[in-house]
Amino acid sequence: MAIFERGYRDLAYRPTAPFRRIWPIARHELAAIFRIRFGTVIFIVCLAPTIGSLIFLLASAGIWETEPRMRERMAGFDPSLPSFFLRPITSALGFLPFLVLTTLVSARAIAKDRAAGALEIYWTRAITPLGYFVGKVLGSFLLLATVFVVAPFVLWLTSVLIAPDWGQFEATIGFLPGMLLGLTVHAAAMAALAVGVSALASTPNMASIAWLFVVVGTGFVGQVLRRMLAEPWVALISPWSAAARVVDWFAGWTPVVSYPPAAAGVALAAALAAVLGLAARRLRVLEAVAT
Amino acid sequence: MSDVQLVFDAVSKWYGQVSALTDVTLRCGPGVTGLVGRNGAGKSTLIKLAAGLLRPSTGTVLLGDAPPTRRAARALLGYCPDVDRFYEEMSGRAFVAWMLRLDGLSARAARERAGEVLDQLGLGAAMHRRIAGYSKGMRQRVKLAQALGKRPRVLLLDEPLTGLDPVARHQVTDVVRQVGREGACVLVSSHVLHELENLADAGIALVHQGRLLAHGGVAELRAQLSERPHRLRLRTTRPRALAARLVELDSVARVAIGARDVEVETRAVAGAFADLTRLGASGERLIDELLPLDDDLEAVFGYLVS
Amino acid sequence: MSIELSGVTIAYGTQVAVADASFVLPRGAVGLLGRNGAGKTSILRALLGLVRPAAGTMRILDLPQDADPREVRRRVGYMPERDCWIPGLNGFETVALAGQLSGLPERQAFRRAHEVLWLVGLEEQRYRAVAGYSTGMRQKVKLATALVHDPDLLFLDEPTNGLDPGGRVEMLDLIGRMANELGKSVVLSSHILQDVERTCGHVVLMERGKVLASGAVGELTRHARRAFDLVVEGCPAERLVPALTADGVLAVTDRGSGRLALEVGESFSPAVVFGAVQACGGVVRRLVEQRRSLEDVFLGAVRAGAEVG
Repeated sequence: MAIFERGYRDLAYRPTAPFRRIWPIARHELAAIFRIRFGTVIFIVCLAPTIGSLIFLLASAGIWETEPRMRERMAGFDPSLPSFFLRPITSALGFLPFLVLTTLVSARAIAKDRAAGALEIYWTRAITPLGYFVGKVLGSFLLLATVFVVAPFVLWLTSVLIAPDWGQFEATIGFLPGMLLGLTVHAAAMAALAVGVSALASTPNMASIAWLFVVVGTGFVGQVLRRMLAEPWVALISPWSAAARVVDWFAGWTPVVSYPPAAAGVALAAALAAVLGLAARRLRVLEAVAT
Repeated sequence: MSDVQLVFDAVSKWYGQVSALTDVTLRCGPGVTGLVGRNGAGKSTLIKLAAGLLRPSTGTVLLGDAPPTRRAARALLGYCPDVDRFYEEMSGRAFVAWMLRLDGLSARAARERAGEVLDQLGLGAAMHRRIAGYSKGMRQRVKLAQALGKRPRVLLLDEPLTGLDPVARHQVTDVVRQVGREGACVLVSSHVLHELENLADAGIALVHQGRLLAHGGVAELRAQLSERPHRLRLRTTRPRALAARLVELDSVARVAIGARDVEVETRAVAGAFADLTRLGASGERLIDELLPLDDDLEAVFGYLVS
Repeated sequence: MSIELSGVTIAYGTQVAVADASFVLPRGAVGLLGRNGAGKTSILRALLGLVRPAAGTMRILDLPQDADPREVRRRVGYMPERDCWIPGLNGFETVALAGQLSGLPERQAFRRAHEVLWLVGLEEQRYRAVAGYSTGMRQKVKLATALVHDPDLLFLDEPTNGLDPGGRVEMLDLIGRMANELGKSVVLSSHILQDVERTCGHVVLMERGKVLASGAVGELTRHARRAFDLVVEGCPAERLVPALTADGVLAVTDRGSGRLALEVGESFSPAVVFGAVQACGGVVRRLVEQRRSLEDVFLGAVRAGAEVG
């Protein structure tokens, strides 16, 4: 009879490439929402605006052909226009789910690890702090992308599939790639911004509060300044407004109240540069190993 | 000042159905008594009962002649807990002075005493800096200072040496021993048994699964366990060769091979010594040192608890 | 050779943490001792590639001097002192993630995590959340994450922190096994000097950024003149003493009740003592070399270092 040793064995393996190693971090971050209490419920609620549009789409199938005058009266609900797909995302209706998702998950990503001391574990493995940061952003991006890129795409696909002919497809294919690209940029920028803010705070709660200021606070201040100074583009100090305008531009659509897209792009880039710059300084490698 | 004794009289403490301590009777007089036990054995419950943070479910706990839940008794008590919570923005000295004021000292007396005791514990100039910037060892010293500051007659120390480097351990051990020599009743709980053995001149209390298993000096306790097998350590440069020879001996029950030594468990102690002397005298130069292992607290603890 | 430092200086801005440190650590278990602020943490950070020395060279294992820090960290295992864990994961997931972060492919990481958790004794609790673990269990998880990628060199920072006496013995035995049986190099940093004495064959002692002492434990703790403690039974001292003053034994002092103190010279061999006692008809109950404790060595070196400045 042979008795097999279950002890420690030497290991021979081909190490994975350094970039490949951070994928588990992204995956872990992507699943973070489902680990918190009622997280799955919250995630589904965040999809509610898109689901609402989907239900409307299914319910109103065929109305547009029979009642052409409705097209004028309910422009926002016309599935052949970009605004139909963007409404659940970049309008005020889409702001709430965005806020909930990012405040609960992305804005706490690094702060949570810092509070539990996990940075000391991460940064003493065979990755760099930059790799760790990129992994976190990637995970947050993938989470936001499900709500802000994949869901609108599914909405569009449905609208094309239930249409009686190719008319819907022809009307929308012009702006669709641009819109998806814009939404991707939007999700990526917001993910980077939120994770950047989370890198600055020492506790998750402080991080959430800071993030609320960055998103809601600036929006409020922006609106007030806009009325005071009667200059519309001042509202661009809110990264959310800037990002929304960028998406609209990618989709080739100009909303009623709008700012020059170039200015929006610059404002968004500036916000990102500021937050990421501060985060880079805050994430000192030395905090990894305690004194 | 007359000595204050810490007395547990048939004390039991339970939470719902779970019993943390069962029927513990213990009397600690002046000097340093060590408290040992596994995690979850009931040590912290015992200390909290002594500190007046918990009331016993049955039985009485007395500090001198009053239970520790009375303010009068608590005035005699210094308690250094295991947890690490401070007002981080205060300086070390300010924190200790503040705690001493809560114990009734005037503002000036508290400040002076705080500075004095922090100096004694080796904190030095750092006492004026914020606690938020302290290392673990410095935080530990602040905790000890607030316990020692009021010159307590009963001192409860829960893991007092954690985080301290060897020099600080030495300093603190000296301070605690001195407090014990001055007649205070000191109860020290620790997992580092060889240090506790050094420190506890008034004996060791061993708690296991909520009961008091043993109380007394280490040598006493060991002598009472004389029927247990004896273990010896043999230092050698050729462990395997030595082990091969040892296995042949009748008096040897078990052999464990290390890097530079061999540990032997014997059945018949007297016969074992004779055999080992013979083995050591043989020309093979197998045994460099012979050391009985069972005379320390770790061994006693191991036997009583297993 | 597991680590070689030569003239290493580490500074943070203008504050010098380590000044011109040089030592060579042999394979096996080595103790890194020093007070807080002595420079141990800085050396550790430099060896892990987290900080670049301002001067000097470092060699770890067989890696080239300018190796990618990530590659260094792949070959080295680190067990932090702080109580830390990755939130939201159970024991198995934590160790598997740590493995993947150190370059293990996913399947290997999973298999390896199970193996290592069995080795440290956490196999029963590995599917429970780490946030709910006791201190001892968290220590074991930390050790498991240090071992999962089969490093050749391990840094263990206060590994017995928070463990009860049984846990301490287990941990020290495990460390001993890793150094002796599994052939790993272990650098143990601990304030509990008896633990270091028990497991390490070599120590480095630092104070205020300088290396105060470096050498084998046996030699550092040896007295200038070697002395042994002897306890005999069944042989009166008067008969034994003349028999003992043979080659190697310089002087014998009778302490009473069978205890003798021997002062010995260079050519001493313990067999002489055994032989003399046996010839006399008695048995040796104890023969131990009197050593300075590592604590004495430490305190002495720190005091001397303080005087020298």
